[in-house]
Amino acid sequence: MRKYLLLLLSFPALAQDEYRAAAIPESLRANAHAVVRRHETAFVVKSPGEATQRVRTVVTVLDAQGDDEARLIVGYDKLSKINDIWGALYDASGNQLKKLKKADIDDQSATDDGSFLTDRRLKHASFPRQPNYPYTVEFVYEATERNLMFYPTWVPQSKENRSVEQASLTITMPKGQALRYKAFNLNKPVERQDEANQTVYVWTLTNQPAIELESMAPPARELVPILYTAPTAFEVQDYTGTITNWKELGRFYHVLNRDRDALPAELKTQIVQLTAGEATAMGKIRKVYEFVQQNTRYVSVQLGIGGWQTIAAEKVAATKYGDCKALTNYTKALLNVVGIPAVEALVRAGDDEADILTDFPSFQFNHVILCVPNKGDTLYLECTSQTNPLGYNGTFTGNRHVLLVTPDGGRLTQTPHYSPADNRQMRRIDVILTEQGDATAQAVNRYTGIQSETRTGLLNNRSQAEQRTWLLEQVRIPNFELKKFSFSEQKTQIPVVTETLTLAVRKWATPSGSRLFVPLNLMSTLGPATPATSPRQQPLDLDANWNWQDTDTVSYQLPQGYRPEAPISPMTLTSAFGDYTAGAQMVGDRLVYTRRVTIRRGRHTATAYAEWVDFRKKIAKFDKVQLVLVKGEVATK
Amino acid sequence: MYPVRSTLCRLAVLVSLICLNGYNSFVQAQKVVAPVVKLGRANQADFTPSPLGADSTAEAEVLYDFGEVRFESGNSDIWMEFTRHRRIRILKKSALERATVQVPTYKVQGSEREYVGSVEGYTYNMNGQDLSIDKLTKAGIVTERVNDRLTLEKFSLPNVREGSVIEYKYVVRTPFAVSNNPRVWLFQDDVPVRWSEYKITIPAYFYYKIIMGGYLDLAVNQQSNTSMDLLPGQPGVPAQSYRFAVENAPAFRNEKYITTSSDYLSKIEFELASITFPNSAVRNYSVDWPAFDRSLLEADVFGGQIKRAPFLRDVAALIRAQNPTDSLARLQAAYDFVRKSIKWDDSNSYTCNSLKKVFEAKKGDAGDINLLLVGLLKELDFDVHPVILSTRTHGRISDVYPLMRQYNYVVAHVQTNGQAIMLDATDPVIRMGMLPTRCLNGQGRLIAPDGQSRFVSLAPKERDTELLTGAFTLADDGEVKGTLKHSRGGYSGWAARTLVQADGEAKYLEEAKKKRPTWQVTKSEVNGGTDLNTSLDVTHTLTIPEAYNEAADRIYLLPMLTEARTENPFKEAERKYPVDFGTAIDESYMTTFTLPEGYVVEEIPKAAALSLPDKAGRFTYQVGQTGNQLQVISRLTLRKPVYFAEEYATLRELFALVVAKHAERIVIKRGEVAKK
Repeated sequence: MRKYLLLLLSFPALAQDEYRAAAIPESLRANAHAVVRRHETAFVVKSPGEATQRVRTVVTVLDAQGDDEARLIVGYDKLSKINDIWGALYDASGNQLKKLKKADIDDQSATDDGSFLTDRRLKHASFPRQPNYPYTVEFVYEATERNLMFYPTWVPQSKENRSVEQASLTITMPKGQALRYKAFNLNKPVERQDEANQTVYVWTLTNQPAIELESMAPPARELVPILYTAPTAFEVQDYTGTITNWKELGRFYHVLNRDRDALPAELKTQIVQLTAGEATAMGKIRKVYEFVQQNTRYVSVQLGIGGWQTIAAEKVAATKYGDCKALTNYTKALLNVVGIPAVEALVRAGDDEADILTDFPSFQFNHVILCVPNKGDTLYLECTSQTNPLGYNGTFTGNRHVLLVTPDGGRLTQTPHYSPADNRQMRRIDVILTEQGDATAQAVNRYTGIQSETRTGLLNNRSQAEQRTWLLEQVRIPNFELKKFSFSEQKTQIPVVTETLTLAVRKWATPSGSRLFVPLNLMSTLGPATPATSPRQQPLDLDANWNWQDTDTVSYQLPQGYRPEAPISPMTLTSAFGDYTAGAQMVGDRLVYTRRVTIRRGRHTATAYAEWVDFRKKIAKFDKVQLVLVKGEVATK
Repeated sequence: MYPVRSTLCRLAVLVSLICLNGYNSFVQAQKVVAPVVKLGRANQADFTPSPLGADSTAEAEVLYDFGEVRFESGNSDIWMEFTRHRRIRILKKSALERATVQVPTYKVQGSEREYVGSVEGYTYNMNGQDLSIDKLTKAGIVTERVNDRLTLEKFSLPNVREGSVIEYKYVVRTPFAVSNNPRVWLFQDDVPVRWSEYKITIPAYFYYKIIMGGYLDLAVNQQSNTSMDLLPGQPGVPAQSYRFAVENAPAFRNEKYITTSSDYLSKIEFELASITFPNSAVRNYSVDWPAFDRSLLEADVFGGQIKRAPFLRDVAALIRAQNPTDSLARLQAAYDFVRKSIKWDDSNSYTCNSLKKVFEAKKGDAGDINLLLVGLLKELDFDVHPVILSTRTHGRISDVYPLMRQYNYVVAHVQTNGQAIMLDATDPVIRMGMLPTRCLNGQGRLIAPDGQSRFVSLAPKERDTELLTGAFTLADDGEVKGTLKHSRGGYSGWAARTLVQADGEAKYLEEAKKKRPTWQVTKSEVNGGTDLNTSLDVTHTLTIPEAYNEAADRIYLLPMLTEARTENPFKEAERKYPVDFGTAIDESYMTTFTLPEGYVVEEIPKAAALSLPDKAGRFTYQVGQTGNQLQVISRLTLRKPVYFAEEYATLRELFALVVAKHAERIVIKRGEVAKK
C-alpha cells in the first residue's frame, strides 16, 4: 500500500494535465461552473486520540459562478491545529501564475454562527478574482486533530454545478483500531490493504458529472457520492469512548455531562414551592417548563470538548443563560428536584435537515432537547425557546429520530410525527358584496401545528405595527384596507393560532355592465408547481413540511337582486399526493364556497413529477374560479 | 486660531438638503425635561409604559440612550473618549438577545488599537413590589479577536427575562490614528427610543463639520462656550459644547423603494475639516469646495492618474485610425475597448493607484476602470472629466458640505457634439450614455481644473420600458392561441441583457417560462440581443389555457391574459419617505384578439384614464371592437424617478386603478354556429 500512496503523490509527468483546462472531458463541463480536478484526502489515525489530515484539491473554475472555489476555508479550535496551508494559481494552460502567500491567509474567529463565546476559528485563503476563465487553483492543507469523536465525511462533490474528475479518500488505521464507514452513491467498492502495523482503506471516484438540484428533490446527500466514517474507539482530552452502537454513544455523552446538575438549595426550595399545588406530574412539568421559559435565555457558549460538554446547572442558576446543553441540563436538574425523571435527547434539528442515519451510530447531532418519559406520555421539551408550547416539536425537532441519553447508554427513538390533521389551516370568511363589487370581509383563520409556526413567531416577537405590515404583504387580495386584526394563541401540544381580520376590499368582484365577476376564493389560492423545463431526473420528495390540510368556507351576501348566471360545477381531485374538493352553492340567499386541500408527505418517482405539476395546475386553475352574477336573471340550471 | 464653527443641517422631508443654521433658527416646540438616569439605579417609571404612548407592543423600548465624546491627549496622539450609557426595557422574549452586547474596536497598522473599558451592567427585575438588581460580573465579559484589525468586546447581562430592565455603560477610547471622527450617533433604533441624547465638547484646535440627517425633530439643541485643558504645557483652550436630544423616536422601519435606510434614519455625523495646534500650521482635511476639488485633482490616486496615459497612445492611435471622422463612433470604440478589456471586480471606489497596472492586470474596481476610461478619452482629445458620486446603497451626498467619504464611485463625463454623455465602463452590456441603476442617486460632482468643478445631475434620460404586443385568436374549442412579444428597453432592457449575459439566452427563456407556468409555449425567439441600442425582444408563440372562464354558452375572457398587475405595490395607506424608483417607468400592453365567426361580444370593460398632478404619471386603459377583432391597450407611465411623500396617496390610487382595470373581463356569447 505504501507504493500506492507514493504513486498518488509523485507523478510529475501526469501532474501537468490536472492543471490544464483543455484536458477536461466534455461530459464534465456540462452544467458545471467549476470542475474538481483532484480531491485527495489522506486521514491517518495515529492513536485513538490523534490523527492527521492532508487534503489536496485542484479546481478549475469555468465561469464567474464558480469563483467561490478559488478559496479555502478550514476551521480549527483548541483541539485541532492547522500545520500548513499551501496554494497556487494556474492559467488555462496550466502555467503557474502565483503561489499563495502568508498575506493571502486570513485568520478569523468563527463568529458567524452567533456564538457569544467559542474557541472555533477559521483560516481563510484566497486568490484575487481572475479576469479570465478558465483558471485553476490548487490548495493543500495539513491538520492535526485531537478530537476523534468525529472522523471525516467525504463529499468531493459538495455543490450543485460542480463536476469531479478524480477524487480519493485514504484512511490509515493503526493495528487494532477498527474503522466504521457508510457509503452512498459510490459505485466502486473500497480497496482495503492490511499491513503489519496498519490497515489502509482507499475510496476513489472518477468522472462524476455535475448535478443540478431540481425543485422538491430529495436531500442532496441522497444524490451525490458521499462517505461517512467514524471511529470505534477514541479519546478526547481526558475522556475515552467506544462506539459500535447507539448505546455506547449515549453512554459517552452521559459520562461527559454527568454530575453537572447540582442546584443551589434556595432554588430547590423555590421549585418545590412552585409545584406544590400541582397534583399531577403533567402539572409539575408544565410549571417547571414555564419557570425555565420565563427566567432563562439562550446564549451560545461553544466551549468544552468541541462544544459537547455542558456548563454546570449551578452556573445557569446564577446567570440565567446558557446554550442548548446548559439549558437542557438545567431543566433536567429542576425536574429531578420534584421527582420527575428526564433524560437528554440528542437530535439533528432544523426544518430542512435530513434525519440522522439510524444504521450508522456516530455524532450526527447538532442540538439537544429534554425527553420527559412521563409514564408513557412522553414529552420532548425545547429548553432554548421562551415561547414554545410544552411538548410541541414542530418543524425544528419533530418527525425525526433522537438518541436518548440514559445512564445505561443511548437508545434511539422518535419525536412526534405530525399528520395533515395536526397541521391545518381553517378559514371562515364572511363577505358582504356591493353592486359595485366592493366588499367588507370578516375572516376568522385558525392555524394549527406546523401551519401555526410563522404566526406564533409573529405573535410573540413582533410589534403590532410589524404584524400589520406582515399581514399587508401576506393577504393576497389586490386592493384592500386592513381595518382591524388580532391574533391569539392556544399553547396546546398541537398549538393553535387564531387570526381575525376585518377587511375593506375595493373591487373584490369586478362589475362589467350588468354582470359581476366574483373570484370565489380570493385568500387561499395555491399557485402552480414549478414546471419541469427538461425531463425530470430526481425523485419528488414531499417532506414532513408537506403534510397539511387547508379548509375554506367563504360565505357571500350578494347585492340585492343578483343571482349566479350559471351554476359552478364542483371539482374533486384525488391523487397520490393528496386530495382537493371545491364547490359553491346557494344556501338561502347566501352563496357559500367551500374548499379542502390535503397534501400528504411521501416520496415519488421522477416520472410522477409531471403528475404533481398537473395536480397543482388543476388546483391552481380551480382556485381561481370566478362566478358570474347577473341582476334580475334567474340562474340557468 | 480658528473659531469653532459649526452649522446644523437637517435633512427635511424632501430630497434636497435644507440647511438651517441650528442655533439661530431652532425653535423649541415645548419645554423639554431631560430624564435623570443614574447608573445602577432604576426606578418604578422604568417599568411602566411610556406616558407619551410609544408603541407598547414593540419587543423592547430604549428608555435612555446617552453618548458623550471628550477629547484627551495621550502619549503620542489625541484620543477621543466615547461614553455610552443605555437603559432598555425588555418587553418580549424575542428582545432577550439585546442583553448580549457587542462593541467592535479597530486597529490600523502601526497604531495603538481602540479599546473598551469601564464596562458596567445591571439587570433589574420587579418581583411584585420588590426590585431586584443583578450586576454584570467579570465572567460575563469576553473579548474576541476576530482578526488583526477587528476585536469584539462582548458582554451578556445576567438574569434577564421578559419584563426586565437592563442597563449598561462602557467607554471606548479611540486614538486619532484609528479615526479622527467621532462615531455616527443614531437617534433612532429598530424599537422606540424614549430619550436619545448626544453631547460633545470640541476644543478649538479642531474644526468639525456636523451633519444631521433624518426626519425627526430635535427636542434639545444647545451650544455653549467653555474651555478645557488638552495639550500638556499649553494654557486652556476655548471649546464648544454641544448637546442634542430626540424625544420619543418611533421605531425605524424600512419601506419599499428607498435608496438605503441610512438616508432616512435620524442621526448625527462628524467630519474633521482642519486641525490648528498652537505654533503650528493649519492642517486642512477638507474645507470648502475649491479645496475639495483641488485635493482630488492633486491626489496621486485621482488627478495624478488622469493627467497623462502614455501607455494608452497606441490604443488611442488605433481607435483614431479606425474611426477617423465620427467623434461619437470614436467615443463608442474607446468605451467598448475599456469595458471589453478590463473586468470589473464588483467593488466600488473613485481612485486608482496605477492606471498602467490596471491596464496590464485587465481587472480593477470602479475607480480603476473609469479613471482608465477618462485617461484614454483624454488621449483621444475628448473634453472629458471624472464625476464622483455615491451609489444608492452608499447613501445620499450633501451638496453643501464637501465630504470625501460620502463618495464611493466615479464615472466619466464627456462633452461632445453639443451633448453631455456619462459613461460607466464597469458594465459590459449597458448602452452608452446610460449609468447603471446603482449610480442613479441624485447628483455627482464633476471634477475639473481651473475652478470648473460643479455638480451634475445623475437623473437618467432613459426610462424602464416594457412593451407587450400580442396577437391572439380565440379558437372554436376555446383555446387562446397566438404570439406575445415582450420588448424590454432602457433600464429594463439593460436588466434583461445582464441576465442573458450571465446565464445565456436559453436560461433566460427558461426563467421567463417558469414565471408563467400556465403558458404552453411552442416557440420562443430572442431578438436584438447584441445591439445594445435597441430593445431586447422575445417573441413567444403560445397557447394560454387559463385566459378565460366559461359558463354555459358564455366565455369570460381576461384581456390582460397572464400580464395583469394583480397587486398594488403600495399597501400602506401612508408613507413618510419619498418613493424612489430610480428611473421613470413605462409599461404598455397592446393585444388583439380575433374571434371565431358567430361569436358576439356582449360586454367590454369601460375605458379608463387617470393622470397624476403635474403630468407626473398616467394610466390609460381601453378595449375596442372592430368586427370580430378586439383591441386592448393598457399603458402606465411614471415620469419621475422619485415621488415625494406628499404624492404618495395619488400614486397609490393610480396603482389601485391599474389593478382594478386589469382584473376586468370581456363577456363573449358563443354564436349558433359555434354551438353545434
